[in-house]
Amino acid sequence: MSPQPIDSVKGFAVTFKQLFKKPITQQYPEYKRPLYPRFRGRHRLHQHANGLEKCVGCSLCAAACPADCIRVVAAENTPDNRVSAGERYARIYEINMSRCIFCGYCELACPFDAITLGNEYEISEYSRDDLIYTKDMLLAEPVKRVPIADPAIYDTPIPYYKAHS
Amino acid sequence: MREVWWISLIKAAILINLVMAAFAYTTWLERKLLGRFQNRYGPNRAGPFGLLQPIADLLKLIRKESFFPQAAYDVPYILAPIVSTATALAAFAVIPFGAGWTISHHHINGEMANVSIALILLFAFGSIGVYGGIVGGWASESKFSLLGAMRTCAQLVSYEVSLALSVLGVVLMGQSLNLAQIVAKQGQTIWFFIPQFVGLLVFLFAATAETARAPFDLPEADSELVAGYHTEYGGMRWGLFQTAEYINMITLSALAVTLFFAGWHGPYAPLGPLWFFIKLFLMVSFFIWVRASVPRLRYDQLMRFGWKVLLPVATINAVVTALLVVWVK
Amino acid sequence: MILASAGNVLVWAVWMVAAFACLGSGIAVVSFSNPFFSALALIGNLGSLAVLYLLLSAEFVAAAQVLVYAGAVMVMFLFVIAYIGPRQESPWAGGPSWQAVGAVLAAGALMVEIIVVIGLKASGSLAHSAHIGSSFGTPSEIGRLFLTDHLLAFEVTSIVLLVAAIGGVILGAHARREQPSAGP
Repeated sequence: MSPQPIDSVKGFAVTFKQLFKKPITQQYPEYKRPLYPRFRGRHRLHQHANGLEKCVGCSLCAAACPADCIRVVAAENTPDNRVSAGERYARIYEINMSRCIFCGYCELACPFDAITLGNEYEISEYSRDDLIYTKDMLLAEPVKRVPIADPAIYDTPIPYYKAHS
Repeated sequence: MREVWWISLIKAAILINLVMAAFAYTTWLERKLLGRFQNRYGPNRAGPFGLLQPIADLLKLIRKESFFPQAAYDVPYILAPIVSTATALAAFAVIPFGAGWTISHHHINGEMANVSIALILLFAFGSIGVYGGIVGGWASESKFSLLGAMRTCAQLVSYEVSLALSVLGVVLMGQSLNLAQIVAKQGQTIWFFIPQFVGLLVFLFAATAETARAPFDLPEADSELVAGYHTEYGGMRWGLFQTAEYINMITLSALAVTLFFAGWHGPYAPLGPLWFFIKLFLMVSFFIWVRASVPRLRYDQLMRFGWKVLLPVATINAVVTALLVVWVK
Repeated sequence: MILASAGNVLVWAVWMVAAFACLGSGIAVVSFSNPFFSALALIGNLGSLAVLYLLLSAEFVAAAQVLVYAGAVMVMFLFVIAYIGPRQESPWAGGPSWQAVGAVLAAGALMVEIIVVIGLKASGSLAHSAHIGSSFGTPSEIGRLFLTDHLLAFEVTSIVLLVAAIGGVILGAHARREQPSAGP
């Protein structure tokens, strides 16, 4: 390939012109890009309208998880301690966020629509122990809200669990 | 008029600190400019406009583990980055910043050391600086380091010759090896980049290769040789090698400004250092612009260019300048 | 007065350090077993020689010594030594015994020379001290001497260097042309 000095000099002009254009970087904390509605973020455990948890501790989500990061220990629902809407409830429900690959298989496997993957993705922690989420943390509403793109444009049908209790 | 020894000491202390600060903010300038050339922001999180980024980098490097390979030869391994940095800093002693000032009967020279051999002293320090790389690469007892060191030093030694020859025309026109006299001559006659444009071009190519900057930056090309001669260096030891590289770039830019663009000459004479600093800033920005615009040269292309193109052009430039100088006289 | 004697003390101190560094590194060149360290000691020797030249006001020679000898020639030395490394079949390993005899004879000759020079200086029959002007050792003075008093030596040296360079190229090209004919 013979040397092309004039084209090399034209390359200099190209980089020089970029100095006067506005950079196209999106500055993250000030501007957060809107997520698509089905974005797989942090897991959420859901409750019925009357306050009973939907999760019955059947461990189908733990069985489906490819990364083996869900721990479910079930216990009987007693008449004076009724937590879920079935016979049993999940006494211990932990997800290890450092192992989770956010694939969504647990959401697909759950027969009661108890666990879904929400939209929260800002879940960094300073130590690995803080990344093991317990049932209370998973039941809670997301702390930080992130912008979500307009569902009407993306034509996502309303999921069954959002319209029915 | 001679300078008193304690004024020299004070000037030395100030100058070394200024050069180190200039090195730190040259890294900032490089990252910001490269970002802007590549249509993105540079660092803008640490402090306003990222101005505290060099401080953050310094703190990180100091706290990082300076690991020590067990197979390395202790004394050369530790001395190599020190030699590189010391010679790079020492070479700055002969660059003239101004015309010299007289403050209350004490004369202050425009440069740290007014010697008659200023130019070749600078090149001599540069030659010694090559040893930092070669000894560091060999003393690390690692195949990647050794090969990287050999490539680096072959490149540096090859382009040293063209570098020295390219300034021969300036020496012939300036009638001296003393940098202060060359700058004074440019103030009297004409800035040397106009008659010596070929010399300037050769100098720019050779200086880019001498400091191992893009497009001649194969010594530090990560994908080629891990990291060349500083593979086995971590933390602040690696930081010292980077210091040496950037200060070499600043020194050669200062030399280009001194030899071809009349150093400290500007509209208002006592403000000499300010014009020098502005020209130095533009020269360093030019080197960063080159880095952003041109792809890297392959090693055999690099060596072929140095010996078969640059050296003959530099020689012919020196011969033609000599003939013209004698003919005009 | 005090400043002048302080300057003299400084010159003496620098001379002592440089002279002992010169001698020490010279001895180190022949005593290190690792050839790379010997080459580094030789670089130290050339550096201290440059300091001694500076003390003699020969600044151009000092800078040229560092630039050419310590900065380029020794780099070539280090290249070869770093590539070949300490091996049993290295060219400098072992050696015939007549080399040792020759080395002893050469050292004896140097010793006789040093004694003769010291004797001549003590008896005062060495030549007059040189006239050192303010431009002694500057590049302009050396250039003037090269082109007037010592023109023949200058030109002959440059021809010798040219012959060496051409010889090196021919030897290298000769070796390369021999290799393809020695192939399988």
